Amino acid sequence: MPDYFVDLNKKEKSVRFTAPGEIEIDGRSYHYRIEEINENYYLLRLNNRVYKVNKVLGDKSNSLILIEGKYFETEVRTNLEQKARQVLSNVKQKSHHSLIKSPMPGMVLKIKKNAGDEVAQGESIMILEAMKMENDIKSPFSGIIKDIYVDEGSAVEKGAKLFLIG
Amino acid sequence: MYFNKILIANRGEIAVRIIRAARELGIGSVAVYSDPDKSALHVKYADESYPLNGISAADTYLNIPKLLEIAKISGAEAVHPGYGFLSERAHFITAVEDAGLVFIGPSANSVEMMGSKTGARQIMKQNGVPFVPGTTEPVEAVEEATAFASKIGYPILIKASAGGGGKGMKKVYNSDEMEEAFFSAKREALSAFGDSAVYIEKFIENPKHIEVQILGDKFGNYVHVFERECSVQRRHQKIIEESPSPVMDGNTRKKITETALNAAKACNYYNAGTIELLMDEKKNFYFLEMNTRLQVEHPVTELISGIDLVKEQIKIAAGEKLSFSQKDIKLSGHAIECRIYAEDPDNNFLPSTGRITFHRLPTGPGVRVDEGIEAGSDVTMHYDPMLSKVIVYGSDRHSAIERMKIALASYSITGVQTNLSVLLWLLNNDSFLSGKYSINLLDNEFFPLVPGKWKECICDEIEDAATAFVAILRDHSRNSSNNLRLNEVMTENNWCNEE
Repeated sequence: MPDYFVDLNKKEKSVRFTAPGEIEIDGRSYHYRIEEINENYYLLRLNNRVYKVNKVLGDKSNSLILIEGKYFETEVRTNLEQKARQVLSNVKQKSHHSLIKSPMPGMVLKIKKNAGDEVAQGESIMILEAMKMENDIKSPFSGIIKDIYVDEGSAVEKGAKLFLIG
Repeated sequence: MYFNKILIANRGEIAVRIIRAARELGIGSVAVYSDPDKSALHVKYADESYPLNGISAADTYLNIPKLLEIAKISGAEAVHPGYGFLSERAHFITAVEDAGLVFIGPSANSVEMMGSKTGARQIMKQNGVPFVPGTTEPVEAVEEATAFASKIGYPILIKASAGGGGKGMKKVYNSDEMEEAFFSAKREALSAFGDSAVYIEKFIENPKHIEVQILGDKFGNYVHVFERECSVQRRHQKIIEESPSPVMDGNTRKKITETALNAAKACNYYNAGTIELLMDEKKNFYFLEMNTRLQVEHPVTELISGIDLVKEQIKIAAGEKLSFSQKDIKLSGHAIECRIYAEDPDNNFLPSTGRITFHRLPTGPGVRVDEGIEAGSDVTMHYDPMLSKVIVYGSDRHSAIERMKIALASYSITGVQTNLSVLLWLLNNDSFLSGKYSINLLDNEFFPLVPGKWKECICDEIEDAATAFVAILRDHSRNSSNNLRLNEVMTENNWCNEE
């Protein structure tokens, strides 16, 4: 039974701590050592190889890390959290509402759709201006626009609700 | 002494770069800053710093009366504009000179002739320099744009007359797309450059972006410092540049450098300038525009020639003659620059904002970093998201590429996401390695793998390291008495790799 499940760029890995300083990842065993240089910079040794690891963003469960110039979006779940997630994902499939949030702070330049319109996945739904560039915001889902939370000309923060698609 | 003190009317890495050059020449530096930049690196690095009191570019780095007031208060004798902002505004140069100061750059007249891309095209036409078919005048109405496009044939590009850096530029494949693209380009041009004028150009299939660096003094002496290739672009923004171009031959180089010098002479140019060209697969080349300023990618030219372009700019502005002639300039080795942007490649390259929590630069033989940030710097949505530039030198292209891979892999930066992974992907891409890539490299080969798929070639070893890292940290936070499951005191020696 794994101790943890790790999503690495959306790819799932299972992890077991078999003994102090011993870790098993998808059945592969390693000795490890880790040293915190500061809260953003660590040295990790796996068997005989040393990696410099940067914790770029995030908290205990979700973080973006950088190793040797490569970024990994990660999510760590305990056994219990893994089970909870499976239950939740079953529930989620029954309700079809999906929220689109602003990926960055900016100004809403143009809203291309009205409530009630049908959108396809990847279709451009609004233009967000930031850093002097017009950024096309594309719908990550297909569906009907149930609600629009912003107006043209309004400033939005990162994570602000933009559209509800059902 | 060329000047006692100069004011740098810019921010970020280029302001730091100019301060360094001034310092080497024994010249004092005066930095300016907007409210969001009050603790930025260039502010701390300069000898003196003055607030511009405001947030938007228009209120701060584009505010000519404020800049001139600070120049006066500080006693600066000359103004360096960097790139972007006021660097290509003729009226700024006039204002600087009217205030009794020296502008470190070309004359207002040269900038006026070349700064308007449509004006530049007319001069090139008169001087027999080849250029891409397009309108020589700004296009006012969308109907006019559609009519012209059907005459020269789709696809076409709509470009900002006052522009650069991909802002206000749109590609149009057919007449249905014209209206939206036309007005979008005009809006971007207006907000980025304060001028909504746009023009239309025929789109050339799979071209390379080649540019020639020139230097001219105020006595009519000109030299070129070879070419740079800047074809690795996304959204028309350069991300990797190199010199020399991997496909350049002696004959073509002779032709393009002659063309560049003719273009510079045609506008009585002095100081550092760049002639941008498109080169098709048969090595036909077309004049694109002249950039009447220092380029972002100037370091690659510095590394292959040994010439410090910023110091030359200052000397030329001070009225010095060029201290070398064409035959003294030798091309040696190969240099590559990678631009580090705060952005999220899997999310349409949207800028990633936040505070830099940790920053550790790559080092080693042949590695140079021109940086505009440090730990504690804020990356805001107000300005361009370029953080720094990593430039490497090698005896040949292959060794430069290998050096760049190691440099990027050892660059630590936290608090924002960057394009480091994309740059490494590109440095391992077959088209890039062959040198036969065009400006469509990312569109053709990278974007089809977004989101996520481009990361799939990552080796298991690093994936396991990433997995182990996050699991160990999580486990430690649950069992914090467990002290990272180390249980042993670690010594320096423990970090040596065992054979």
